[in-house]
Amino acid sequence: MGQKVFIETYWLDTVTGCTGQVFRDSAICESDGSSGYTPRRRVTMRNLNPEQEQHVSSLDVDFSTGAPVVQFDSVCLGHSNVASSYAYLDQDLPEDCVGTSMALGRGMGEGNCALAAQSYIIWLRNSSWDGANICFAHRGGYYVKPTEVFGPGILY
Amino acid sequence: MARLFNSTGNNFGAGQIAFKSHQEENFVVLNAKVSYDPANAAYQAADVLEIYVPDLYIERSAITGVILTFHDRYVYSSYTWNNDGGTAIKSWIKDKNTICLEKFTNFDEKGEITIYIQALYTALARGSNTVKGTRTRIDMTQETQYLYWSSETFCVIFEHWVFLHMQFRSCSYSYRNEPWEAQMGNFPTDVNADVVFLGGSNQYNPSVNGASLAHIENGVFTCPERMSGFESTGYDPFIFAFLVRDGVQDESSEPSGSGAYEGFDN
Repeated sequence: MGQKVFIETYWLDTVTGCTGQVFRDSAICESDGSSGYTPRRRVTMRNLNPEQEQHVSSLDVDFSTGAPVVQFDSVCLGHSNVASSYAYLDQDLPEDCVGTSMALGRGMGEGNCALAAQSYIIWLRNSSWDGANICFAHRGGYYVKPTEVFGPGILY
Repeated sequence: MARLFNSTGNNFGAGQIAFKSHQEENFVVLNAKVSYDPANAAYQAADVLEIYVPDLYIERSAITGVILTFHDRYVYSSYTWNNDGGTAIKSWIKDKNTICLEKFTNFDEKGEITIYIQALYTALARGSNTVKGTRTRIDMTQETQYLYWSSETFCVIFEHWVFLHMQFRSCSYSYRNEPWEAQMGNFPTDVNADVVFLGGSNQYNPSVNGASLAHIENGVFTCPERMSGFESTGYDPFIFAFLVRDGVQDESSEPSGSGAYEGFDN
């Protein structure tokens, strides 16, 4: 509050690495309410609870779409004999991120159906029993471990 | 309203592609069917498949999933062994005039490949977070009930588009080789689309599921035939699609400079 923040941004060409026009801006921090700033809500590997067993090797769940979808980019490893993978988080999800989603997956395994398309129902929840977690539960197609779950998932 | 446009080109020899879309500031829903011959030189020279289109509402997107399918049938004297298959591949919007498709070469030897784009492309870091929809269970009914569906057969309905997930459970034995038809209660009647059932054991292409084509029109689901391993245990056939509702066509939505819209059969 009261501090001045300077921001410099560029578009980066991911092919060449070259940057384009530079944009510079500054603002004095006021209260969250008056700034109109909406924090970007996103869950990644950095948000995993280190004290719990995890069933993902990659996790990126991005809520910043401004659309009725969550963007997934995760690799589910599965666990035990259950066709699901849990990512346990180190803090609760904001209430507007709690819900159910569904996204596409594609196998990354070896052998039968290694590249099979699948659908996953995804529960985003805060549990008083085992803490906040994101559960990727297999539904359609042949179940494969590991599987990458990617793309937009409707949220309801 | 559904916005219709045609592609202006591509780099893999696919010919003109007809799109049906719904576009908003933060996302676009695109529906199209793309076929190409993997033997053509343009395809073989491409690293990423690119479709060139008139201006989209968003300038780039995160990755989404589209469905790649191929035909693989073995004709014997008394029957055809259908090993059609498919899987999900990645797609994204590179810039407002370029839609990219992952080049997935595993089935190039099968001949013509068809990709079903029934996807939502979203931008990220939009300054606002996800908006929740409402899940609606689809009530699949028939005069004589012979099809049975998983509880994960549902849709999420919006004014101009709908998300659809259907999951097959079983079929009465005497109907297993018949054309299927069912009413889709609670599903919008202004959706007209071919949709792909992914699932079923694929004996000759074991790296992927089978693929079977179904159709939705005026709230009626039809599926004339299925691949041969469709009902194999553990290969649960499913449909996953973001579909544009036809609604009432907006006359002002015709794109300029891309040629007249020449029909859409997806």
